[in-house]
Amino acid sequence: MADTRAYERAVRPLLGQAGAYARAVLRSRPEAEDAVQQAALKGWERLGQYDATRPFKGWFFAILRNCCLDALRHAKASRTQRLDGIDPPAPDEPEVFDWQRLADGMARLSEPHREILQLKYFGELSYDEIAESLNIPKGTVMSRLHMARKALAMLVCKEDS
Amino acid sequence: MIPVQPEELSALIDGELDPLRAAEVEMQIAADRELRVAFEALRDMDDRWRTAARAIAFVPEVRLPARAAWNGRFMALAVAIALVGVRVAVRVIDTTTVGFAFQMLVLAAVLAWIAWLERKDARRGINPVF
Repeated sequence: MADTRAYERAVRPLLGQAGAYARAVLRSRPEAEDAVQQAALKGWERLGQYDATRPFKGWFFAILRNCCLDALRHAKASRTQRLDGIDPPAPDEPEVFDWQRLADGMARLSEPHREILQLKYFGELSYDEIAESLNIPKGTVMSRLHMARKALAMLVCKEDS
Repeated sequence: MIPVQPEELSALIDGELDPLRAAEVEMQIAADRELRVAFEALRDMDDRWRTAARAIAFVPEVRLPARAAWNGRFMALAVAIALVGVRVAVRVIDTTTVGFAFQMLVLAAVLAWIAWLERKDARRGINPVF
């Protein structure tokens, strides 16, 4: 995909899911916007490295994931938090399973489980795309995703009870 | 028939099993109450999580750098015209000093143009494309 216009056309439909994924990882809409912007630029710069036989969405989300991890590392290093951009806590509505509860639950899982669930639910990636994004075999995606689901279900059930 | 592996329940929910295996797994789920209960619990949770996750989808405004292709083509054309111009001028004028000065003038103009294009791109920064 050497053409910039083709890149724009490929990225445009992914922006909603990219925004949701970045927001779930960073827990802040402004920071999510920055991360998606950065990922779009990096992807555009590295377009020559893209292998057209691989899933584009997985490739783009691998870049986005790195941008989000960089943002998290940067936030940790600076040990400061922007108060204006942080998403407000979820209201006390136990019957409504909102995204913040989902993200909170995921945050308590191990890193491999958290990452795969974030890509699956917020990024809405297929197994092939997750495999590309995390650089793991598709079979590993299948088993890890199932284990992660079970782990999250146990956490949520504990919370509910 | 191969027994259902636990991760195949997840894969069935995600529509990631090949059609033949999906049909086999569905048959076994229908025949086995315990498997059916596990599958339905997993599917219900998946529905809730999927709905919750979709609620935060938003489309960020993304900007990419302006395309530089035309700048590059104009630049190449300008350099080519300048070089031909210099050759023609040297032949017409036929004076070494004047020819040399003319070449220096053209070179300075081309360098100034390159600098101007660079500064223009830097000032313009990134342009909206979405």
